[in-house]
Amino acid sequence: MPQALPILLGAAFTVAVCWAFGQLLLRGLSLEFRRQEQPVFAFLLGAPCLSLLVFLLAITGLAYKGVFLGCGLVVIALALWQARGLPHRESLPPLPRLWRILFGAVFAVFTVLYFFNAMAPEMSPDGAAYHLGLVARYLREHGFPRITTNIYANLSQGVEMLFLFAFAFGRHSAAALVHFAFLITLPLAMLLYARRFSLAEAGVAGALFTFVSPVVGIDGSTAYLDVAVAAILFGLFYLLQIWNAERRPALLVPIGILAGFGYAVKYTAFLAVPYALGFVGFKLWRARKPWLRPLLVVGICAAAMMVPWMAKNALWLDNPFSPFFNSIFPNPYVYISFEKQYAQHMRNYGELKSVWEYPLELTVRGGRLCGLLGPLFLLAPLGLAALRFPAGRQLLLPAGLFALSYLANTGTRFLIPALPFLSLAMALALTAWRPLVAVLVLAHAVLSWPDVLQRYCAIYAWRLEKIPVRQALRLESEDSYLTRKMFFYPMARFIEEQVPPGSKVLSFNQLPEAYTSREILVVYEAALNNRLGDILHIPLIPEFQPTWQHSFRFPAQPLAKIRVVQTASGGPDLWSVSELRVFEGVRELPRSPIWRLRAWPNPWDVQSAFDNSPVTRWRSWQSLFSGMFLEVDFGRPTSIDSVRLDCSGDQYLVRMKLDGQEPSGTWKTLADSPQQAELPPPPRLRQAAIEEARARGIGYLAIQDSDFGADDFRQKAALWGIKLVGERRGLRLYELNH
Amino acid sequence: MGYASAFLSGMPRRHGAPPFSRYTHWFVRCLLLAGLFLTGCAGLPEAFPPPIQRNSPSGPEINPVGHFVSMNGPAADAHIVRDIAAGLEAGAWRWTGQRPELRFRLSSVKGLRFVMDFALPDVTFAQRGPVAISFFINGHLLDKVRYEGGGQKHFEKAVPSAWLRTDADTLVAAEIDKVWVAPADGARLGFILSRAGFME
Repeated sequence: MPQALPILLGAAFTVAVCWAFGQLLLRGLSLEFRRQEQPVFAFLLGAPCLSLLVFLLAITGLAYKGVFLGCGLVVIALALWQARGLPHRESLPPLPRLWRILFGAVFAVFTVLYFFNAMAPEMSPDGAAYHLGLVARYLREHGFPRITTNIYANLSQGVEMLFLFAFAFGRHSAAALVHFAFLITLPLAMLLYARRFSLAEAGVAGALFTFVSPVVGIDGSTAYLDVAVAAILFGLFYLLQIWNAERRPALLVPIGILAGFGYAVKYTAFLAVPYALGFVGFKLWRARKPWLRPLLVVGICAAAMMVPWMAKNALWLDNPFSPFFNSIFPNPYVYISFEKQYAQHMRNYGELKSVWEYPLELTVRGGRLCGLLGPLFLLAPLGLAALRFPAGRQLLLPAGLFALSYLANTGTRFLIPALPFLSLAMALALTAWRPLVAVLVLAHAVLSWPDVLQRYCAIYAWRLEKIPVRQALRLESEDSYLTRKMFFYPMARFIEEQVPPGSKVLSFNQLPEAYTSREILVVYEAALNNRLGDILHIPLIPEFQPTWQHSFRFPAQPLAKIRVVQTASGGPDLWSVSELRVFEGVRELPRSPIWRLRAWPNPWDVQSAFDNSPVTRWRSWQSLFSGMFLEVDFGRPTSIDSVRLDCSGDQYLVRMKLDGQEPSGTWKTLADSPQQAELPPPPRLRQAAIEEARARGIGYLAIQDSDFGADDFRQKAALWGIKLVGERRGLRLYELNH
Repeated sequence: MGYASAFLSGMPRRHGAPPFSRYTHWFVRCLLLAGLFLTGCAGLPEAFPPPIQRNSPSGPEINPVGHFVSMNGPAADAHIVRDIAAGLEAGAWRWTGQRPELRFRLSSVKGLRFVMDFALPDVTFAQRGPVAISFFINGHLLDKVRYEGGGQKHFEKAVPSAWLRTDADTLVAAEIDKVWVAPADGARLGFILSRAGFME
């Protein structure tokens, strides 16, 4: 029980600092809302301020618990001091009694469910793997280390900054409770919006439609982000509606802040910026009012939230939008082919065969799309009937706009940002039949309760299962609970025990990095990791081995440069070259230090084709296009008569020619096509692969029994040069021999 | 539309247009600067020197005899001891006689398997019927396999390390019990060899 106290204090302190920041901002802008609205907007607007402060502390290496405590106390003190003697604010119109009871009862019951789940040990897949894995690392290192081996560190992390603040005091569950704060803020904001704009009954129903939705419940009670995004976007919508009604210029500042904070929390919420700019611009343009200055205010405030994340990526990863847009911002940290595959996977990771499978999967089953909205949302098309109301049109616009991000990721939770708008529109469409709306609310609540939910949803649907009171209060130890419930948790702890600090573990699977302080590189999470995966796969896959020789022969002549040029284009193949060798007669020219090697695309890996290692190769990491090249600049005219490339067989469509530059500077084609021959597979590939992994700083491998080649690693550990350290639930940890 | 075009082109504003278009030049410059900043972040390295060379067995070999040979490889002739045709057929394979023999040079002897890819043409079975091939490593009989029909064949078997050595050539022979006499020229042929050698 005493262990629960820091968790609660950490979360409460973080929420209080958010609120205090918001109060200061609103006072600074002389913005007043209705009595019930003030704390909601203070929290929603203070969150970006605290997030930005933590970002600045992290970037300057000041992410210490003491610094957080000092800053937080100062902010709270300032807010309390400023709040002295404030006049009593006007209240919103009250809710009808029955609707108040309905809202209060359902809200209270589900709040208890969500609270204890949020407070229980954090075991969500993404939360434990990277949302909190990175947060824990930032706290250990008191700021942002330059991470180039984890694409998740490249994403904007606005809410993770709040998690970091809370984590410093209450560890993992305090962070999850911060997300829970957004979860309970969201329905309150929806209800207040409805009360302000005389839609009270629709507000009660809409707020509960969203709040009790199973995927909203589990997402909002873990260290995820989606519910926070939904709350921020709804707060933005709410502010825009107030601005539209009152046209107070000062409102444009929080509007811009929330719009930009959407991007700072999750890339997919970037749509908030065009939405806010478009809304403000359109309303002013239609009213024939000046629009440029208001748009600049919104834009600059939004940029203040977004630019720090872009700048961090631009400076450290050569791509402000990493891990996306790598073809526009080529860089050595994320490969274009990976981005393409990742995007394709996200667009259809449920592997549903037809669009007609989506409605049931999203609302009732939830097994393949990771969560369900609840059967109520089979009625979602009814929301379109709200188009007949002005408020309905206002709601359906952001519902449609924010649902667009679902096209990029078909997981159910990617609909959460659009859900509040859809819920209110559905409720609004049905307000003529109020008893029916109340019945729908109750039915939705019953159907979303864990004990009922398990009777109809898919067995592996992502959902809450019970109220874990003992675990939340730490009457059962965190270690015991996580060992029981979290598959890879024992391996994370095993790694913590066995791997010395500073050593890196290469894994083919995502592990709960929030529960180990050792650095784990997952083979698909960055370019270096991709290369390491490739190196380890080369001994296992004959088609990856350099057994296909291409020889260009031509009359001996002095040349300044040679360039092997790809002439094929299209097709899925990635061009690769294991070794490029240059000959004069039978003598291979030694690779001179004055040579300069170039490649396009992926110039950064060109040395892999000149290192004499059969397990490394230069790869284009991009589908074939005519004009790709590998180039050797000899530094001085050099007489040669043949060029030999050792390539792997996994590139059936490649076609190459050899160009050469004469000492005069003139380029000419030396050979239109190479002669081809088959080479024997090189020996000792396994040992060479491990040596290359070790040269890249890897000390350990974590391989699950179901991973490709796992049997080979296990049965031929001596040939690889690795030693089994131990096994936990089919995941084996090997140490690389020295 | 008028605002938009003036905004983008920096043209003087029309009479009666709102006063904000005076920011147009400044704003467009900011946009351009921002664009340059963002695109300018993508600096590409020019060139790299050759890296440290790995001491890999795949490097240039003084002795062209290695642990594996393909009949269309550049070192094929160096591996052939006897009874394999000099001419390469279809750029990939060679005919053998009754007892072809190859030499290999091994750098280690533990955990090796002898592997051979070859073919027995269907047409030869009409004349000689099923055949058996005996595989010898340094004179030791590794296996004797009977083949009832034609087509591509793959032989693979672990070799006791005691039969192998690293300080001298390893000799491998594959003896077929019946040859096929080619009707055209009377040549006595064994089978079609593509590749052979030792693998981990």
